[in-house]
Amino acid sequence: MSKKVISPGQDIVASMVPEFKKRLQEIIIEEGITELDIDLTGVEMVDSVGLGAFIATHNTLSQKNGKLTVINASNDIYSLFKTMRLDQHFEIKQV
Amino acid sequence: MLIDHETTDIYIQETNQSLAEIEQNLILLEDMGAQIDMSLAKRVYHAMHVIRNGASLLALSKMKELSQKIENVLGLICTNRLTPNPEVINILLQGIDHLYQLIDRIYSNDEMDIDEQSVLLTGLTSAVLPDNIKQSVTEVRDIPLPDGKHAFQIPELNLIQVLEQGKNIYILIFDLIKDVQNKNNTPFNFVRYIQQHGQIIDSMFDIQSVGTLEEQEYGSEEMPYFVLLASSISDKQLKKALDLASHQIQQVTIDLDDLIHPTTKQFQQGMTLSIANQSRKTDNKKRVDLLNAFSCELKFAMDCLSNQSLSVGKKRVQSVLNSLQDLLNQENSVLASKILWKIGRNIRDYAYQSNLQIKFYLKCGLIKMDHRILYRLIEPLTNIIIQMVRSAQTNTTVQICLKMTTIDHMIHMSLSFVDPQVLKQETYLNLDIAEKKIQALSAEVKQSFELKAGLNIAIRIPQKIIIIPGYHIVIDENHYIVPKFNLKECLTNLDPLKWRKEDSSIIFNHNEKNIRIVELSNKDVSYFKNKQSLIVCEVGNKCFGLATDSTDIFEMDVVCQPLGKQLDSNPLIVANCLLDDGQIAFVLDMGFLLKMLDNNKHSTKTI
Amino acid sequence: MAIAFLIIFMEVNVSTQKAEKDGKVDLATFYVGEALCGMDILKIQEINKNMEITSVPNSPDYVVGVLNMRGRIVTIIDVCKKLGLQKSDITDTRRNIIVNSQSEYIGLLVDKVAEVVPAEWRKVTPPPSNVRGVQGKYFEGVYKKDNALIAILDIEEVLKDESVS
Repeated sequence: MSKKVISPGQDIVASMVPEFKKRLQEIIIEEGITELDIDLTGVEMVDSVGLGAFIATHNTLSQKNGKLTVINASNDIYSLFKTMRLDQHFEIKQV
Repeated sequence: MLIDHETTDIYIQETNQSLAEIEQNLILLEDMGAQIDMSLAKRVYHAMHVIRNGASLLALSKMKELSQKIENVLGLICTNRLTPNPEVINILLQGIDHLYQLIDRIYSNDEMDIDEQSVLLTGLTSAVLPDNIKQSVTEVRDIPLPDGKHAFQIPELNLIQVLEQGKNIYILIFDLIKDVQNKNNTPFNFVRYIQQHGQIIDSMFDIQSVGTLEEQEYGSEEMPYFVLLASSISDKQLKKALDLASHQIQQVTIDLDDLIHPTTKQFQQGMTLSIANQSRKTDNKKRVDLLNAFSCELKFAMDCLSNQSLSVGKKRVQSVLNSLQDLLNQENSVLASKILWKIGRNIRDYAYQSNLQIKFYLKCGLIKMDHRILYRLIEPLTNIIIQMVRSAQTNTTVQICLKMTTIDHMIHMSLSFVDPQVLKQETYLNLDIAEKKIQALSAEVKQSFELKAGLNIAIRIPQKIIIIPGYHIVIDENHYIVPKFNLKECLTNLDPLKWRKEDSSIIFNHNEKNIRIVELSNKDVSYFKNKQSLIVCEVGNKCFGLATDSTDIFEMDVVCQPLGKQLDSNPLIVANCLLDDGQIAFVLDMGFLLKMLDNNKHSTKTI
Repeated sequence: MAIAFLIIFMEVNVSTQKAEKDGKVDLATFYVGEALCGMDILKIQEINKNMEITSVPNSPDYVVGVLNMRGRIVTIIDVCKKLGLQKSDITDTRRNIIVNSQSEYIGLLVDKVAEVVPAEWRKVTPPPSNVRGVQGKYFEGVYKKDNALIAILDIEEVLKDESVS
C-alpha cells in the first residue's frame, strides 16, 4: 500500500495530457503506487482529453485494487465532475 | 376481491414459484460474500417487482406494501448501496416467508394481524438500512441504454415529478472527443449548454470504453457519455439545438399512469395469463382424450367379463389401472431438486441462528419423485441433518451431503458427512421422530457406522407409491381416512337437539336439511349427541353423515399399504396407512358406507 | 403311515435345505392357551413383545389388529382364538411371532414363548384328527420330547382366511 500525491499545477488539457499520462504511468506501474491523489491546486480548467486521463487513471488503478482521489478541486471543476457523475467512480474533494 | 378467481389462482401459482426462486437466489447471494453477481441481484429485484405489480393489480394492499419494501431493499443492493450480508438476507427471507403466508391467505378474510405486519416492515427497514439511506428509500426504475450494457437507475419519485411537469424524457448519446473536443469545446461549456435546454436527471460515462492508461496509448480515444434529459422541447428541436445526429437522441416513453398504477406490467401480466390459460386448455384437452381412451378400454373389458372371457377382461382392467397409475405418477412427479432445495434453506436458517457454519450439498441428479412425498421428506431430513450437525462437535464448517440414486424402482437416499472423520467415535443418532415420519411414506431408514465411511443414514423409498389425498378423522378411538373427493363438509359445534331417530335411521338436521347418518355400530341417539363433529360425505349423488370424535379434520396425502390377507375381506376398509406419529389409520370404503345407509333404511341389522 | 411320512417330507422340502439334508429341525416352542405348540424356527422372522396393536373395526375376533413394525403394517392373529382354545389369563408373557407367509409378514400372538427344541423329522408323528380339542388340520405333526407333546403348527393352515364375506 503506497501512496503518492501528484500536482500538475497547470490546466489539464490536450496539449499536456500525453506527458501527464506518461508520468502517471510511471508512478503507478514503475513505482507501484496504488493510492494516488491528484492535487488540482492551480488547475482552472480540464478539457475532454483531460477528463479522459482521469478516467483512464482510475481504470488503471482499479485493476490493481488501488484508489484515485482528486483533491483541492476548484468550485467549477468540482461541480463539473459531480454533474458528470465522476464522483460515482472516484472521490473528489473541494478546496 | 376485484379480479376473478382464475386470474387470482394464476397469480398465486406464479408468485409461489417466483418466491421459491427468489428465496434460493437470496441464499446464493449471501454465499457470494463481497463479490456479488450483480445480474443475479437484478434478477431477484425484477422478480420482486413483478410480484409487487401483481399485488397492486389485484388490490392486495398488504402484499403490495411488503413486496414494495422488499423491492426497495433489493434495489439498494443492486445499486451497491447495501451489502447482502447475513443480517440483511435474514430479514429479506423473513419478508419472503411472510409473503408466502399472505399468498396462502388470499382467499380467506382473516386479516393478518396488523401489528405483526408492521413490526416486520419496520424491522425490514430499520434493522437493515443506515440512517442516511432510510429517508431516501423509494422505488428505483431501470431505464436501459441502447447499447444494452448500461441502464440508468432513477428513483421513480424523480420521474414522476418530471412527467407531472409535462416534460419529455430523452437519452442523449455523446462521445466527448468527437462531440466536444473536436468541436473545440470544453466539457464545462458543453454541459452548461445542455442544461440550458432541459434538466439533467442523470448521466453516466461508459468508463470501460475509455480504457486504462496503457490501452489509451494504443487505441483511438473515445469517451462515450450518456445523458438522461428532461425537456419540454420536442426531439426535433433538441436535435437542432444540440447539433445531434439521429442516433444520438432517443425518447423514453414512460406513462405517468404507468408509474403510479403500473399498467404496462399489467399488460405483460395479461399476456402471461392468456398464455397460461392456453396451456391449461391444451392440457385439459389431452386429459379428456386420455380418459376417453381409458373408458373405451374399460367398456371393452366389461364386455369381455360379461362374455365369460375372464382372463382377458381382467387383463384389460389391470392395464387400464396401471396406465391410470402411471398417468397420476407422471402428473405428480417433479424433479427432486425442485423441492428438496428447501432443506438447504432450513439448514441455512439453523446455521444462522446457532452461529454455526454448515454447508449442505444436494446431489439428486435428474431423479423425479411424487411432489407430495418430497414435501413430506423436507422436515424429517432437516431434522436428521441437524442432529448430525449437533453430533459433530467441531468448530469448523460441517459439510453434509445428501445423495440420491435409483436402483430397481427404489429411490435410495444417503446422508453422510463429507469428511467422515468429523465424528471421532462410533455414534448413533436418536432418529425416532424423523423415522416415524419417513416410515409413514412406506420408506425404510437405516443407520450405519463404519470406520472409514463414518456415519451414514440410508433411506429407501419405493418409486411407485399409492397416495390417497384425504382427511384424517377419529371415530371411537379408531383413526380413519376419508378420501378427499368424498368429503363435502365438516360441521362442528353440533347442537345436540338436532339429532333424532326416525324409523331405524339416525338423522341430523342441518339448515333445514335432514342428513342421514351411517352408524358403524348400532348405537342409539344418546351416543351421537356426544360426538364432536359431523362429516358430510358425498358418494356419487348421494349424501350421508359420519359422526366423529375429532374437533377438526386434518388434510393428509397418505401413503397406503395394501391390507394384509386377513383383512382383505373386511368390507369397511380398503387400505391402511401410517400417520406421522406412527399411528395406523384405515382408509374407509365409501361405497360400503353408502350401502350400509341403504341397509339401515330397511332394517336395524348391524354389521 | 408311509403316506403321512411322504407328506411330511414334501413339507420339509418347502422349508430350508438344512432340514432337508439331515432331517433335523429346531422347533421354537410356545404356549397357545395351555397347549404347547411348535414351529420350524427358520420360518420365524422375529419375536417381539410390542403390544401396541391397533384393533381393526369390523374384523373377525381372531384378528387382534395391526402393528407398526418399523414402518411395515403387520396383521396380528390371535392363535388361541383361531384354534378355538381357552385363553390364558396371564398377559405379560404374550409375544408376537412374526412369520413370512406368501410374501407377507404376519404376526402370531401367543401366550408364552418357551425353549427351542432340537428335533428330527423322522420322529415327528402325524397329527391325530383332534389335538386337545383342536382340529388336526392345523397341525403338521406331533413331536414327543421327554414328557411333553409338542404340536407342530401348520402355519399356512392357521393363517387361512375363514371369514365369511
